[in-house]
Amino acid sequence: MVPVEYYLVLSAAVFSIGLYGLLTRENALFFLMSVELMLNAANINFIAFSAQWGNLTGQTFSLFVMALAAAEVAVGIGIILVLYRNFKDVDVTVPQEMRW
Amino acid sequence: MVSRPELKEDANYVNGLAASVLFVVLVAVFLTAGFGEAAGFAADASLVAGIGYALMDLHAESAVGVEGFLATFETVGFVLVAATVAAVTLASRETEGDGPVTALTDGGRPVDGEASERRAESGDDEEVES
Repeated sequence: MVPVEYYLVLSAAVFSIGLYGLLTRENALFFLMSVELMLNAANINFIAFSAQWGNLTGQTFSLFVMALAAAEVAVGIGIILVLYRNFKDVDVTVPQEMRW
Repeated sequence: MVSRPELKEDANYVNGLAASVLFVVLVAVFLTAGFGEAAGFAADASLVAGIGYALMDLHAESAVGVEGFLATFETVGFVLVAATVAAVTLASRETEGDGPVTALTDGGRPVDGEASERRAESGDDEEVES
């Protein structure tokens, strides 16, 4: 069986890539992709520890994380559409206020 | 002309450094923690059935250890419906009127209340003037 540390290192790598994307990108769509990477890193951890302890709770929880990620992307893309409609751009550094 | 991806040379390297440092710290912690041998699952245990039982609060039926998640399951379903409605509300184009999107924004135009009211009353706008 693969040691759990391998999964954790993979998860840390995926999370760090997501964090790097979040820090460097200015396109809102890439923001969503980066957040998705970070959520999937959490999913890898859940499933790795599910196998580590021989308990299915982690796998069940990762299903919920996937559903919540889908909900987050749905709202995020709606916000990006409004952003594009108002600014003709999806650059997240352009809007500076909650109301414009 | 042959084009190829090029390295962005004016990038801010602090962000990459921060992500790399986080990765190194995480890996150092994981590799020194010592998690022991993995318990794993029995070869003949049905994990999919176990997840299904967990989602319906029938975890006593499951051969693999798991907890009940019926309340969470229902809550996530509600959140998904709410997110779908929110996405459709945000994405639907409001031509004019009192929709939530136009209430929050003004179509990207600067909000000058008196000037726009005057234009609406006199019936002429910028296109007519120019």
